[in-house]
Amino acid sequence: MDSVDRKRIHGPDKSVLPLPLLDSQHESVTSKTTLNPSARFDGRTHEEVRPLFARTAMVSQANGSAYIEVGCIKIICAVYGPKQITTKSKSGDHHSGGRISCDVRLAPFAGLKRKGYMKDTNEHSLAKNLATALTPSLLLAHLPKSQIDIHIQILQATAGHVSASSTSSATVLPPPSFATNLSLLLSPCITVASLALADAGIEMMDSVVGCSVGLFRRTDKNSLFWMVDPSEEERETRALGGGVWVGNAVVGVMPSVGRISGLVVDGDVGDVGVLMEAVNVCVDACAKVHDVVVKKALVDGFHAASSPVSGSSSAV
Amino acid sequence: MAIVTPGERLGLNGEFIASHGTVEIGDHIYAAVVGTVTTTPSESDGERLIIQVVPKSKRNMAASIPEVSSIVTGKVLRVNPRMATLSIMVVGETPCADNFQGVIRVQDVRATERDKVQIYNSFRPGDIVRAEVISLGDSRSYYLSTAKNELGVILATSPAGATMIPISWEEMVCPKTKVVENRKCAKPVDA
Amino acid sequence: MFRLDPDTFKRIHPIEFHRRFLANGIRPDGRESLLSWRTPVVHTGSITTCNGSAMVRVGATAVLCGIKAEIAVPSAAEPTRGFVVSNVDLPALCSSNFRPGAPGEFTQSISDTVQSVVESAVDMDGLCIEPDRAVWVLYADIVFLNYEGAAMDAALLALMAALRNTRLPSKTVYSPTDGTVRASSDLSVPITLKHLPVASTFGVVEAGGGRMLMADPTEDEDAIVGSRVSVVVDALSGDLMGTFGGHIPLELLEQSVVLATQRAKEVGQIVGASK
Repeated sequence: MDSVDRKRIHGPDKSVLPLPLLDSQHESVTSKTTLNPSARFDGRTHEEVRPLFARTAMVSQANGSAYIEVGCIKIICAVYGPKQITTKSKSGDHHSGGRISCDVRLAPFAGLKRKGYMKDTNEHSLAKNLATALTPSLLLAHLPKSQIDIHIQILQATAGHVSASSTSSATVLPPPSFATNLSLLLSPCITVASLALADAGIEMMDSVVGCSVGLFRRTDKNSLFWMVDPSEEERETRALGGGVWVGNAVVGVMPSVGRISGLVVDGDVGDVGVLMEAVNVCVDACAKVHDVVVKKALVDGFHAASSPVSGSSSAV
Repeated sequence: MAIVTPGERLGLNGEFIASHGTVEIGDHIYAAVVGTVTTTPSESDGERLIIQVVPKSKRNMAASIPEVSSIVTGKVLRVNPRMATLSIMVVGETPCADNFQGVIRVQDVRATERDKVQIYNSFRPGDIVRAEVISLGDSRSYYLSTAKNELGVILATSPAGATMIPISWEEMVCPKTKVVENRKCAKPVDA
Repeated sequence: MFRLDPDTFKRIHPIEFHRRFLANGIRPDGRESLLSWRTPVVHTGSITTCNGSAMVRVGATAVLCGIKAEIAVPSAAEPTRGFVVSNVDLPALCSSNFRPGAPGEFTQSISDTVQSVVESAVDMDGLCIEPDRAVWVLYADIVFLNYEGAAMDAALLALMAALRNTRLPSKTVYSPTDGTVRASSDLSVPITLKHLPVASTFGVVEAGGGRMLMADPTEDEDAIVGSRVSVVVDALSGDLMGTFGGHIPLELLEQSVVLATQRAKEVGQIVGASK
């Protein structure tokens, strides 16, 4: 418990999620996955990304904003600025160009277990990796003495409860004890932040699209294989597809100009050849996402630029 | 009209001169913002057209931050004998995303008789001033100048709370109390 | 004298900008009278990691409330009373007027008000699992995604809609040996609400030599609002549940309660139509 936060309302000192009621008709996670060892939960191929929905101009108060849904992940991003740099920088470098500041926050209800308001290290590292992936795309030299603030709020980070109505569609729940793995959230964060920056009219070489890839080790042989855009459940359920999760890579791609702006690799990957192969597949996936989703969101946003959000019918 | 998005290839830099909203990478020119493409003939280069991408709404013009020679509008925050400090709110016709700080130093208030200028007889806190950016200044402030006829105070409120009326280029009068105060007034631009 | 376009004028002289609207009895966002409201729009159940959630829009203001149910030990004094813990968050994302970091005074006061109202609206004893051992605690986190005024009205509305959307497991088993609670995986039991509080915020403005009410002021209109008051009325019974905020002349307070009662009925129907 955050002991000294007197600015929030606190409940009882300690609270826990209920344990699952063990009833026989409820299949356990492992039995589910061993049934069809080669397929993914949602029937995607290994190269396929989850369905993606994006739109811009969601926050009328901001200079630019965007919203993205990837599977069950929901993220909103607002861009404020360019504004004057307020903190003192080292003398002389204020003429060299602008800078960006990223702030990523998980809503308390975004994961399976409620999270407090204090930012944790995961959120800080997400913000740092995001800034790294976005910076190469921006023409910050055009914005002397200025700062652009990028605020991201993750509204939902993982699949939810299996509700009474949807048990048949079998969303397999990872046990709630798992902490939400934030590295898989980096790729949609990159995409949504770049959209919001473009919506704000910040000059950039290209919009950046993020894509992640999960690397697995086959249990029978000792070779690696990959799956593009793994979901939280796929990561947590390590017996997936007859493989063991060994790590993941997140790539930030500028599809039109064909450059990679950021690459974060996590875990015990080992075989660099397989990793490069996986990264290349990500680059192709990003190009598709850029053509189908990002461009459309930007063009739609341009047409609607004069009429900000009102009674939007999107899922949120 | 076709709308381009950042990263879209617009042409070779042998054909066009890249201008606002575009970026040159290698031999190619790409769009840098979302908007519509316009080309205009160049005066200096008869061969090539100037190409730019124009964003549609003001909302998309957030990239308009003060540059040297832009005309800005702001509110006087405080004055001292050496300078007046302004909060810049509008650049050209576009409200800024956030206020920028600028200063008008005593030697930049007017073009003539600079040594006789007194800041307190030119600006007072709360005045709305139109000024030109003369340099990006120091780490805190842009340097501004009002040394042109059409620059200076455009809106001032008297101690009685009324909007004051300019009666000469250096005096304003309060319509309620008829008190005359000194200001560096801007000459209204002909409508 | 000087030609200024509306955006520029509003930026450099907000008070005069709004005074001119006020003088004509109209509003910059297109509302035709000082006493007209922005009609709220309610969507529920979009966040599936929650036991209940609701998204509310009031004009451009957008707020999301998610409710998560956990289990805690009740206080010794009230062994059957559950908990509702509601926090309002106005992050830097929703407006440039808010800074990242700890909540400011404004946010804290809204959190506090919402908390005190919701405690009287929920049947706390209905959250009991095993007296003196285990009760439900409902964590309600109310996050603004776009802020254009109506903080109190929208926050309370999102909270009440999310509470109506909240479902708890149908079966809970308390184990006296280790003190744990096991719950079935279905979420089907709604919680009992005794009241449906609706907040209506008024600003007090000076116009035509007197003071009058302005319903539902936007963030921009705060420039000319002297003080604000939020009147909370139960949409089910029509009873006044409290007024919160700054100073207001008595005759205006009376008028505001009458208007808020009417509006609570209308808004209650909108919330009532949501699931």
